[in-house]
Amino acid sequence: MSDDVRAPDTLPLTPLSHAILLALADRDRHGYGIIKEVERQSGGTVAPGTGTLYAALRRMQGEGLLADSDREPGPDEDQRRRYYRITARGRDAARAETLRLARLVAVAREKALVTPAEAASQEPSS
Amino acid sequence: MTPRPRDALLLDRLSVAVRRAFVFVLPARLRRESAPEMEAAFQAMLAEARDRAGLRGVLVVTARECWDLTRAGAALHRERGGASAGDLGRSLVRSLRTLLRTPGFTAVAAGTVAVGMGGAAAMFALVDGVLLRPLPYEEPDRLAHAFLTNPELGWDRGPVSGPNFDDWRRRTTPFESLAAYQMGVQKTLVAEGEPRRLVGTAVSGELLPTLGVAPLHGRTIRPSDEGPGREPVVVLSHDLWVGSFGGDAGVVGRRVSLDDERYTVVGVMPPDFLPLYGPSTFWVPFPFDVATLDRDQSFLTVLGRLRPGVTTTEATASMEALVRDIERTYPEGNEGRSARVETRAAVVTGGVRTQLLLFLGAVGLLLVISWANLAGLLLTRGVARRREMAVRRALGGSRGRIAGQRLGESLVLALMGLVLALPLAWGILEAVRALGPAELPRLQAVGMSRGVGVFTAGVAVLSALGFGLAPALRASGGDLVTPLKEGGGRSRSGGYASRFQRGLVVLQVALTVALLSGAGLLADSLVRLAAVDTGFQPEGVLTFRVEPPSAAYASAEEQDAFYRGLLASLRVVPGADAVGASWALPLGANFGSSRYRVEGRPDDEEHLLQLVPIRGDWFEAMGIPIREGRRFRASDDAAEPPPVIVSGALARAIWPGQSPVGERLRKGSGDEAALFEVVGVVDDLTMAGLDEEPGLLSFWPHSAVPWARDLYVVIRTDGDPLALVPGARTAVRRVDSRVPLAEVSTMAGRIDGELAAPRFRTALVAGFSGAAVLLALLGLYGVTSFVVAGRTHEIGVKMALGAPARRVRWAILGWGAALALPGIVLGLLLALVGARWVQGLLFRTSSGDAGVYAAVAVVALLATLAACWVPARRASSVDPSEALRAD
Repeated sequence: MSDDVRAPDTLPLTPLSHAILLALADRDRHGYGIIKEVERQSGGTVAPGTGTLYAALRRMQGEGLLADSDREPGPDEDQRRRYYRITARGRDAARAETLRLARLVAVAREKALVTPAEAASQEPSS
Repeated sequence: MTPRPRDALLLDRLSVAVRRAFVFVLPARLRRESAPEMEAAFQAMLAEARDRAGLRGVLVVTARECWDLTRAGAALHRERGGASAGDLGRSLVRSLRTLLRTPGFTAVAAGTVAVGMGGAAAMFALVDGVLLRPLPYEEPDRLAHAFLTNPELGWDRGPVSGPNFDDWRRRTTPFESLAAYQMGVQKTLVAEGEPRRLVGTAVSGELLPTLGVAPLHGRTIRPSDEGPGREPVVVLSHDLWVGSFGGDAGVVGRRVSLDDERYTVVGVMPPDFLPLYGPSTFWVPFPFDVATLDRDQSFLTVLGRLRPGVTTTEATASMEALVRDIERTYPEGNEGRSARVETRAAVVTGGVRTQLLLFLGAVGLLLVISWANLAGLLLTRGVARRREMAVRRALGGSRGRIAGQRLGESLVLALMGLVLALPLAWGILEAVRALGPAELPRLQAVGMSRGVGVFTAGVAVLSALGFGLAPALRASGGDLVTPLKEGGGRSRSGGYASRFQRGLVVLQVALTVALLSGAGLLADSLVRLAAVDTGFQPEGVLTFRVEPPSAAYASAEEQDAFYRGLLASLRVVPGADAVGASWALPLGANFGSSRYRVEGRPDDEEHLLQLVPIRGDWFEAMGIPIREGRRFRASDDAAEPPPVIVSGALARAIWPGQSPVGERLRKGSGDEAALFEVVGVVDDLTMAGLDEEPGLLSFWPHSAVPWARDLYVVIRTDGDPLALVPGARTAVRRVDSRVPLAEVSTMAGRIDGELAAPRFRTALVAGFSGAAVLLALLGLYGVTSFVVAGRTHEIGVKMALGAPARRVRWAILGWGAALALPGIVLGLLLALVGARWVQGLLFRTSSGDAGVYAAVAVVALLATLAACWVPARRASSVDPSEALRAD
């Protein structure tokens, strides 16, 4: 699929795509690393299996949201591993989706659906 | 519970293999691009799950992963414009309709799947309940037993004496807390009406806190409850609380009478509290009066909670050092001892582990046999439908679609099998629960849980692939022209089973022969065990246990008078031919032992004798002949030195080649020494268990051994021993109405109980083998019939040309035998390799027993001929003119 078919404005991202982009936002990771990071980000509530994850990775690669990283597995690592990196387009999409969610959170707060303390309690522990 | 490395490796490989089968659900492109790195990720998940949650974690992660692959695969196919969920449903309904058009075939096929799957589900439930589920205590991984060992005597899980335990718990050990208990403590509860004999556990104050199970009411026993002079307290089991106290919470604080002593009820345990070993209806503090306990009287089991992070290997090393240190302080009774620490889980499941893995292996074989069988059936059916498939493809049906539809049919078959398999598994489990031996721990907790349902559903999906993949690929492949040219009638080319079909039969026969060999070895071992010469005559012997209340018969004289009166009263019971009593019964395994020296030999020669105090005409009642010397007689009570009778094995061990009668044994040394004179020798007696060597037994007049309070009465009769029970009950009541009869059984019944465990495993494996034989017969019959049906024309021609019917028949039988023979040989080889696993379960049967394998081979060959007989008959009764006209 070429870049102009799916522009970053094809919002919203699916929750899993968003979570994967967030997982890659700070560093390049391999498949298992993404699974662990997605699990951590969600407070243990989301843990994709390899089928779901790689179906999403391939689709997102096709959409230009992420790409193969230059990083190679280290000598003591499983050599079958491949690393992924987020693209500029992926970063834009993740930012846009995050801001969209932030807007929604703000609306929910405005309408007293959640309190600021509740929202803060969802912040991930490192 | 962390699995051992070898198991872990095997299980990981198995998980990876199962997952690989599911990867095929994904579209080819994703598979091509990403399969290796996906597997790498899965293996990392697996390793993490194993570290976190052991075997269970591995199973959960594998199941979740397979489900995820299936879901992702379905979603991707849908996206690509393939079948939608609705399409899938419609195609399954179509498959169901196709199958229902041939109800006979469908019933046989679904039944075949159900046999394998039902067995697998039941065995999984058993293994899950007994081996995998964590013990119901707080942080069960840290609970471990500390045993005394004596490498010289071959003890590897020896009990500990009261004083030794007391030293252990006062010192620093690898245990955070250390507790001890004595199992099988019997007390008589007089609540309402009849006195009840109860079996309970005497515990040190730390035991219940160490297990970390909260009581339902009140409190558990505490360290402050033990020791002399404390008020006696008791904690009740949930069963006893409901059964004898009506489930009244107000029972806490009440006083009850146990063996004429007043105990205060301080607590009630919850219903799911698992007693440590066997039944326990109450817990009382162990009377820890270190001053009165002997250092060489070992009967306590020690259990503790390991400090965090301490392994059993480290713990064993520090306990060994501790035991050596104690030996230096108290050499007497501690010689040659060492220690060993094992986790509670290993102790509970250790004895049954091999057995359960054997069941799992057997059922695995049965499952694969059922797949091979069904694959054969589907292939045969596929040949019959070749024309239909060819027409479809000629009309533009894609290979993928045709294969997919055939797989759909397999899936529907597997689901039908699942529906049948679950009740079947439930039935097998009920039977296992009813017949299973007491040595299978937590058997009553085993059941059809949700986990078992999920597992079985997984097996069903796997089965659909297992038996459906090859027929599906075959149905969609091959050339189009031949089936279309041949027309719709009998297919000439159907007369030859493909190499694959023949391979399936060989596989089935091989696995069946392997399974049958296992059953044969177990059965052979069972027969040998049942034929062991026990050294006594078990028929016509009634046994029960009595214990005079300690308060009423405190002194040795009072106790002696009680038993004199009791035996006299029992002797006049109509039908009683001989009456005796002893502190232990053969196969009871519960007897004392002590070290003796031989008079006239150096002090450093000591022998460990097993002690059996007896009374009355015990040898006559048991039917044990005196080989030399004499029995005990009434005047022996005052005889000096006191007499002792020894078993043949003991006589041979101490006085090889000479008569022990008149020889003397010595306890202690110097002026304190007590002497005992051997007055008789009896035949060897199997005391510890049927599979044990005859022990080094010494028999003592009971009056000389006052610590043996409770005795087993044995009564020999001509008729049915159980008919004597009412008379015996009356006779006991005449002496003291407070004394109940406990453990009423017959000697023959006790032997039968010893055989329960081996009989159970033999029956289970034999049951699976029987099912396997039936399936294999069916498979062989199917293929032979198929070949015969396809060659009717050829046979007709041959017979028209003058071939005698007999020759046709033999040709078919020969064809079947030629197919079965490689299977039999392969199966015997498999069995020889696999049998080393079961060697530990065999008694005097070698895992390489030629007789067993020969018998299995003969049975398999006969079964083969039987399976081919019907098709052979049919072939030889072909009417040549009929066969030729049909063309």
